[in-house]
Order: sequence, then structure tokens, then C-alpha cells
Amino acid sequence: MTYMIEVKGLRKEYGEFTAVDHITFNVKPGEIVGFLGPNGAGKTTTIKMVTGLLVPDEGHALVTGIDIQKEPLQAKAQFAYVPDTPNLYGKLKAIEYLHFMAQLYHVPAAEADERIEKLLDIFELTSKAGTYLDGFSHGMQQKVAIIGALLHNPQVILLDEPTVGLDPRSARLVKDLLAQHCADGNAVFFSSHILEIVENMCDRVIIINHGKIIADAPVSDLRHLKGDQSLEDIFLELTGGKDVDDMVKELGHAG
Amino acid sequence: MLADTSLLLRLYWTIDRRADKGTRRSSRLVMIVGLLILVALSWIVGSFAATLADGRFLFQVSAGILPGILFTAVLFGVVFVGFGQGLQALYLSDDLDKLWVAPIRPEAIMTAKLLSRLPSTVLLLFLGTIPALIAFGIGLDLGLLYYILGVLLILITPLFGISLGALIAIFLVRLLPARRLNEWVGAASIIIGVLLSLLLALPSFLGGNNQQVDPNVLATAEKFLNHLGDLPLPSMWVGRALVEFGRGQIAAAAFSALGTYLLITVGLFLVTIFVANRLFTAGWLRMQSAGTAVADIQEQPGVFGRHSLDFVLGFKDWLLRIRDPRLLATLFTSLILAGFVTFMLLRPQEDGSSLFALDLSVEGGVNFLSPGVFASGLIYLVGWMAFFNLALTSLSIERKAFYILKTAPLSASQLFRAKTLGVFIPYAVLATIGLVIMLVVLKLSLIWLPFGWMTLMIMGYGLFSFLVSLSFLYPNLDWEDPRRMRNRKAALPALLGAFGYSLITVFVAITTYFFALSEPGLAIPIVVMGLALLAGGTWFFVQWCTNRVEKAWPRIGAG
Repeated sequence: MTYMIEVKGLRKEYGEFTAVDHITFNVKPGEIVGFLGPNGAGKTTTIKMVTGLLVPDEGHALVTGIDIQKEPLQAKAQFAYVPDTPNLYGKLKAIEYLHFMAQLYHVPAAEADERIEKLLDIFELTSKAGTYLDGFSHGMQQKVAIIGALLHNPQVILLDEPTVGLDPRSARLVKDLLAQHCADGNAVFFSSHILEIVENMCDRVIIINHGKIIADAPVSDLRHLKGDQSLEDIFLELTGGKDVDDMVKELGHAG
Repeated sequence: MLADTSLLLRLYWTIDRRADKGTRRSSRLVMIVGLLILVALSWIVGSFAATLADGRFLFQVSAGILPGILFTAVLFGVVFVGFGQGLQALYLSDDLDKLWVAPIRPEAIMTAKLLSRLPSTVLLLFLGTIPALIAFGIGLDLGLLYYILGVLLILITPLFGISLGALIAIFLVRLLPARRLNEWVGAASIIIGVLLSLLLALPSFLGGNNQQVDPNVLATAEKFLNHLGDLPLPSMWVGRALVEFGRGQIAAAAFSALGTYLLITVGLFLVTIFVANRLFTAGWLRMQSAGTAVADIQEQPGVFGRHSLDFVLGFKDWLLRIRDPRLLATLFTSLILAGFVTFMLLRPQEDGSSLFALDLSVEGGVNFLSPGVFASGLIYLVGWMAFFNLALTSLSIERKAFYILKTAPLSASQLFRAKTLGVFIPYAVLATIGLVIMLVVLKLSLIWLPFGWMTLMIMGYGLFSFLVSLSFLYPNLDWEDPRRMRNRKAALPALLGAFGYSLITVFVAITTYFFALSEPGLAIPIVVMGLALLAGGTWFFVQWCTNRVEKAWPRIGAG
């Protein structure tokens, strides 16, 4: 079977610090995989290596079976990436940016027109399509970035904290769109700190800590293994944050 | 309020100090050299002013006027700087929302914000004006009181600038969005900086070796400077008072001038803090809830989606440059400089000679530098200057949005080609227009137009390919100020490489021209061969640049 994402022995060092340490995982077609980990665990570095923004020191990252380092153009045509901070071109209008993105991903003009109109409407941005992006709030820019990512109907969507800055309606919309995208046989891989979203949306979670993968299983399996605990408790236990409750209690007593 | 202000000020000054410590040794060295030059220039200005006042120069200006002019110039400068700083500090700093929700009085926030940049402003003013005041005082043998009061006045002047600048900012923010204003301030400072430096350089350029000064010009200058003293400005009054104190003439008028100046400065600051803070608060809160001007999907995407990707990539860069006033200003700066150099080269000399009449004839009567060849060379040089910065910042313009291109199915060589075309096409258009105009104006035979045009195009493409490739090799994707958009490491390789390539190609072009003129029967084959050599060499050069870009591509933006 060709995996949508296949990561084999990836390693990345920043000087003395090993950000990602020989990690291996894969994402199957139709799967939504949540990528969890504390701050500085190596999530963003991993996503950047999978998208070709960073060159790994060791290992390989394949998207739909294509090595991102060996055949970057073919691999990049298969996915879309939405970073945690949507740094867009502030001096382009939203409509210009979206048409630019469509062209960058070789979407035929007529198809691009139709999809842009539809997606702008879904995200309630039609009335602001002719506005410069530097006048948009973080959430609105995030929506535009997500629309840009969906335009070429990629087989894989990689998102770094996709719902940060979105209002509840938009967050729900993103969740539904991503679920629909996966139902069509595509895959979604995203990092998040909002465990509730991960728990509700994901077929599987991968937890990374100190650059190493410490869990890779469906949410239900993890819960079963850990005595029906919530994902939050499992996450805290695995990443060494379980003592948080005790610390809070201690702080309460001290106060 | 004082405790809060002091706490915030200590915080900002600590942050500034640590940011300074983080600067590289080479940058610090450049800064120190720059400051020393400023001190030296200031001293020269002061000494010159003293010669004007004591009649040692060609005309005489009343002594009291010159420090007044200095104070007035400083005031205008600090108001402009204060406006920019006030706008930045009061509306665009990241910590304002945190401060607003903290139990701190708005007056404390405003005072701390306005005074946060005071040390650097005072230091610059001190180094830029105190040497001038001292040199002027020594030249006129002024007393101790002049120096003490001069230092004190310079110390409080930034307060005036900051206050007035902040007031202007507070009022303008009610009319225009703060970010847009900030962009225009950036653009204005870039243009003003270049115009001032050109203005300072112009007399020496125009004067050349001519030591004779027109008496009419001198009389006008004398009249103008002496009239400045009549301006009803407190800064002019205080300048006069300073000299009177220095001469021991302690009169009531001098006291009142000093008092007025102090009163206006301190009063303006207090008004800003205690009265204008309400306007500031209202403006800031309004800014948080203000929407943006919206335009719906009826607005068409323009060329996006309707042209080739290469064209769209280049067009996108031009849109970004034209729509951001700061980027537009840097573009204008290059054009102004190019225009200035063109003017300097084309203006007829006093003896009636012109660069176009240079006779470099060799045996057989062939002139190496015919006007036509010179015109092409001039256009190439002007194009180089006009688009040098644009080419070197071709990739840096992507800034933090670079990931969009890096994760797209777009090869390094395609992006490189698109970026090169984005610079080359405007150059080609301007060069063609320039060449036709020059040939028509100079009434030259148009028979050499195809050769001149093709040479310009080939050389331009090679030059800008090289410069754009350096923007990939030395990108700066993390800039705020467009003046710092260019990676400094690119400057030396850019100059050396561009000179090297130009020297070789100019040699090929001129040699072709020379042989074609020497052997008129074989002119066409010689020209074709020369152009083929030029194009072939440039093709190899561009391929070499492309290879370097492709090699560098994986590590670009990986920081």
C-alpha cells in the first residue's frame, strides 16, 4: 500500500540540540492523524521536514510515495501546507492571493474561479475578497490560508495548529471540511494543542516528546490501554506532565 | 504613576540594551565609525558657522542667527523622528494590549512609551549638535554660560520633538489607520534621506574645479540667512539668547527667550501626557474595533490566473512593491539616484565639452566611443543603478511568506527565471525607450540601433540574472524596515561580479563595433559573431547562476 505520508528515520539537529531523533511513522489514505507534543517537542520541525522546508540530517519523508528531497516538485504537487502563523502577502487582496495560489498549483482558471467563489462563500469571506490581506485579522488570514490550501484538492493536507485564531463556527467548518476531504480518500495530518479537537477528529494520534515518538495509536486504543482515561490525561502521563495536578494543588495550599 | 512609569522605562531600556548587545561586532564597528563621522561633520559645520559670523568668509551673518538655525533644524528633525517613534510606540507596539488590561494609569503608559526611545535620540542629537555648538563657541570665543546652556537646551529638545510628534500622530491616527501612516513615515524618511544627501552633494558636484563663486549667489545666501533670524520661532530666539549669554550680555530679552523655549517644551510634554492621553486612549480603543475597508468578490483578480506563472510571479512582486509605500520609496530612491547620475553625466561642461563628444579615435579614424556606443553604455549604467537594489532584494521581498513558494510545486530555476524577468522586463522597456530617445535627440544614424539594443538586452539579462541569483544566495526573509531588506553579505560579491561581467561584455561589444567599422564590407558577419559571442557567454553565465541558485535552494528559508 502507498502511504499518504511515510516518514522513515527522520533526524534533525540544531547544533548540539537534537530536535527530531530518528522518527518513523506513516499516514494511510482516508486517515486524519493528530500530531501531539509539548512545546519544543519537535512537531513543527517534523512537519517542516515533511513539507521540504527543512532538509533532514538523516532519513526520508515521502508524500504519496514520492520522496520530498528526491522529487520535490512531484511531491509538493500532492500536498498543501498551512502553518500556525499564516504569513500571507499583506499587500495582495484576498482574491488575488487565492488566484495566485491556484495558479501556483496549476488549477485551471475556470475551476479556480468556481472553487474560490464556493470556498469564500463557505467561510463567509465573499464580501471581503477584494480587501488587502494586511487588513485581515489573524483568524481571517487563517481562513484565507486554508482556502488556499484546499484549492488544488490536494491528496494530503498538513496543518500546524489549524484552528488557532478561528471563531467556533469557522473551527467547526474546518473540522467538517477536513473530515469530508478524508472521506474522499485523502489524508490530513495536523498538529494541535487542543486535545478535544484531536480526540473528536482524529482516527489516530502520534505523540512526540524530546524529538522521539512515544505513542502512535488510534485514540480508542490509547484510551483502552490507559484505563479509559481522557486524551488529556494520557497526553500528560506520557509527556511527564501528570504532576501538574499536584503542583496546582500545592499552589492552592500555598495561597 | 511615577512607580509604574519608572518600572516600564526600566523594562524598555533593558530590552534596548540587550538588543544592542546582540548586534554583531562588525555592525557595532560600522555604527561607531558612523557616529565618529557625524561628530566630525558636526564640528566642521560649527567651525564654518563661526567663520560666517566673524566675517572670515565671503559674507557675514549675524552670530545670533546661526545657533538658532541649528536649533530650528534640530527641532524639525526631532518632530519628524518623534512622530515616527510616537506612532510606533503608542499604536503599533506589541505590548499595548497587555498594558491596557493591567492596572496602570494611561498617563504612565504614555509617558513610558514616549520616553522609551529618549536615550538613543538624545545620544544622536548630542553627537550631532554639541560638537557644532562647541566649535562655534570656540570660534567666537564665547563664555562658559554659552556651553552650559547649549548642552541643557539640546538635552530638552527631544522632549519637544517627541511631544509634538506624538500629538500629530494622535490626531492623524483619528483620520488614517496607524499601519498605513507608519508605512508613509517610513517612505518619507527614505526619500528625505536621499534628497538631503543629494542636496548636500550637489554643490560640490556642480562646482567641480571652478573656484569662482557668483557674487549674486553670495548676496542672496547672505540675505536669506540673515532673514531667517526674523522668523518668529522660539528656536531662533533661543539661539540668539545663547550667543548673548556667551558674550556676557545678560539681558531681559535673552532670559525671556530661554524661558519661553523651556516653557513651550515642558508645557507641550505635560499637555501631551495629561490632556492628549484621552485622545490617545480613545484612538487606540477605536483602532481595536475598527474594521477595514471591504471590497467584495466583484473585484477582479487582475492578471492572476490569466497569464503565465512566470509573469504572475514577477507581477506579484511589482504589486507588493507598488502597494507598500516604503518599498515604493526604495524604488524611487534608486530611480532618483539613477536620474541624478544621468543628469551629472549629460550636463554640458563649462568649456562646452560633452562626454558625447569624446574622441577616442585610433588609426584609421575609427572612434571607439562613438556617441551611439556611449549612449548604450550610459543606458546600461543607469539601468544598473535603477534596478540594482530591486534585483538584490528579489527573494527577500517574499519575507515570511516565502514558505508559500517553497512548499509549492515550483522549481528553484523557475522561480529564479521569473524573478529575473520581473527585473529584466522593466529594464528592457526603459532601456529601449531611452535608447530610441537618445539616438533621436543626438540625431545619430539608426543603423546601429539593432546592435546597440541587442547588446543592451543581452548584457542586462546577464547582469540582472547574476544580481537576482545573489538574492537567492544571500536572502533576508526576516526584515521589518525595507532599508534593511538587503543582506549586507551580498554587497561585495554583487559589485565585483557585476563589474567583472560588465567589463568582459563591454569589451566584446566595443571590439565588435570597432572591427565592424574597420571592415565595413564584413560588418554584418562581424556584428552577428560579436552578438553570438556575447549571447553565448551570457548564456553560460546565466546557467552558472542558475546552478548556484539550485544548490542553495534547499537551505533557503530553513533558518
